[in-house]
Amino acid sequence: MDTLDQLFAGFGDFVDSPLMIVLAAAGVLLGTVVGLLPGLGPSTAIALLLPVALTLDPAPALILMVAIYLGAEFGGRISAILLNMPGDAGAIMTTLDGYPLARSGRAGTALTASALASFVGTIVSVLGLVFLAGPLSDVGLAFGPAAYFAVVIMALVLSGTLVGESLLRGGIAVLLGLMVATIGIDTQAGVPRFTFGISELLNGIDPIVPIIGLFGLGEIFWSVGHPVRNGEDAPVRVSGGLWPRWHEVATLRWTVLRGSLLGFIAGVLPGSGTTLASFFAYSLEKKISRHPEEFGKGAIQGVAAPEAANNAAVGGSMVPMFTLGIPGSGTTAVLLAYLVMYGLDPGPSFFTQHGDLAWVVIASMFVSAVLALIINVPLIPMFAKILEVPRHLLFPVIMVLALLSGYALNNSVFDALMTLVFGVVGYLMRAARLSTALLVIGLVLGTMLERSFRQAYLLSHGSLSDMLLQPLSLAFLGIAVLAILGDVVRAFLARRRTATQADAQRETASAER
Amino acid sequence: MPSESQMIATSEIGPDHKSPPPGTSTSAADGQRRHARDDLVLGGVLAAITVVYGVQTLALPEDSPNQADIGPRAYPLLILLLLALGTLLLVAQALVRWRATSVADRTSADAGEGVSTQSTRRRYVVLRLAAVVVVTLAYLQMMELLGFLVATAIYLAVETVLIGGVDRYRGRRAWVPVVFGCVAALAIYLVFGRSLGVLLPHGPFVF
Repeated sequence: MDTLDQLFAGFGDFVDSPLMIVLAAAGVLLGTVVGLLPGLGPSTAIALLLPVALTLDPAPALILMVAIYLGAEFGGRISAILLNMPGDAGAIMTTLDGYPLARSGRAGTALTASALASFVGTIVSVLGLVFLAGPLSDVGLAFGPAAYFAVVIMALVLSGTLVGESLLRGGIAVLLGLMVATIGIDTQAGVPRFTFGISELLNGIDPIVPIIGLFGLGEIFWSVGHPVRNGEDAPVRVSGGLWPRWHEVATLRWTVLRGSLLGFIAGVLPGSGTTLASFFAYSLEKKISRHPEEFGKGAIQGVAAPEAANNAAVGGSMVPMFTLGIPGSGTTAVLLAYLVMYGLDPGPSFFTQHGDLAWVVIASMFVSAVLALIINVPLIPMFAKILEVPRHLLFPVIMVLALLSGYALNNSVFDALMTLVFGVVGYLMRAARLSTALLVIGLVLGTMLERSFRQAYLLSHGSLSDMLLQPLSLAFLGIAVLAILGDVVRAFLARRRTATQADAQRETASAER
Repeated sequence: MPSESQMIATSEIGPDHKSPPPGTSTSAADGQRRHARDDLVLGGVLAAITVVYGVQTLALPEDSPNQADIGPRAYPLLILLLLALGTLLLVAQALVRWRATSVADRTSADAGEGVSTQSTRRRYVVLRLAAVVVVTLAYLQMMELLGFLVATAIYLAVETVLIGGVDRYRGRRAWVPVVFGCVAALAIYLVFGRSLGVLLPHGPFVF
């Protein structure tokens, strides 16, 4: 029962510090607010927290950030249900049934049921995290540089296939991230690389700066360029009582459990995060429902399943982050960048070296989940009011906060300028349908990837074949190859299906003629 | 060689010639064609990045002072090769789609009315966005000159008008962005400059 001992020790550390409890509560509240505001997600909020993070120790900072991540998944559902607009990416599926429910006067039921589902999803996933983290980190410790190199490659490939439209686009985004990570002096050879003679680039670009630019400014630029039209509508008034009938809650229990488990698994997979989790859960629930025709018209299961899943994905995405230093989602990539900033060296040895830190954060997630539930049910009318804050007042403030955060890292206007550059890059990437989250994942993993590559090369005495032809490396690279092949086959089948559909249409058209 | 605006115009009409209001119906082939065009542009940008990165990579020394190390060039070279491959695949894919849709679309190339309003709207959005970015650039330049507080107040007011639209603040409502800028800038200054201790640039004044 070593795991439980460590968990309770984590609880002990957490409860001992009033600051941490206050931060958890503040994080959940802030997270709910950024979650419900369209165009602002947990990645943005956590990136903009840099000036706060600089004044905090790692443990309280991480507790605050994880609480924001959790709160955002609670908050996203509010605008999804009341406005038909996902407040963050994980809540897209919630709009499908949430908004019809709200229109039929059952907004209160939908909000409360989804809050309960989110809560259960969180608890299930944190339990999963507790029992998976220890064993997995033991496995991770056995990895030499060659195996770790292969694991990172696998994670990047899986992220590329799971996020975004196609492996090609995903791969390009990841490669761009890896390229940014190579900027700066190469520490092993002492040679400056890709600095273009700019002295500020000699130390490399701290991943936090591009992250603030991409997630902070880029998202705002995108929202300015693409105003959401149905956002002008006033939100549906919360009505019809807050509490769902108990028999309704009872019928949801399996839905929520299925959603939680699926969400947890999706969260553990590299890169996929909350969006995919809620998509899987919704699809599954619709498939096995006895009344699939009700989905999309206001089925309460259609709200509970994706909400359970997107919260469960938060806990799931922490598993590879804590045990292997690999982000399970775009938001955990931001958290990893902070771990690097604090000099904590995320990677296979993180859990053994900084286990107490990890356990405090894990313990805090239980408390944050409870706080989120407490905050979310009675305060819903207040949150609905926040949706009415005009965007043209909100956006300039967020832009200032982003530039300020970029500046604060080194008190340098150059960094603020880089933030702006990456803001424009983020906008252009979205316009070109490239995932900025994947660039961030590549950026965060890039340094580790090169380091393990070169260490492995050293250890195998300069033989690439010795380095790659180890059972562990081969297994992970094999998974990566399988993922690539699977993606190619899937794309091929999809193209053939549309081709045959087009043929059929052409035939019917010529027949009509 | 069709001009950019004509290309936007043709890509925004459905291939179905008979659909009554042009520009309102967007078919799948239509979107495909626009995506293919965007991907060709993206391919060009990526090719430029590949060339710049490639020139820099090839200029790097191959060997490291440490004999056993693979050297500073090998890893960037690997990325470079993969990016070049990805760019080629993307361009090839876009060309195939472009040709496939241009055959289907040839009949509708001449119906271009009603779309001009949409492309002017798009141009307006791009202009506004460019203004937002340029103002931000100016803000960063002015920050050390005017100090954080003053620069931020001005910046917030200007961006509010830019994003909200000038029409919203005509006449007596012109004081809204001004007051908002001052209050918000002061709040940010107090929270970050004073409470969190960020060393904000402070120009000629104490703030």
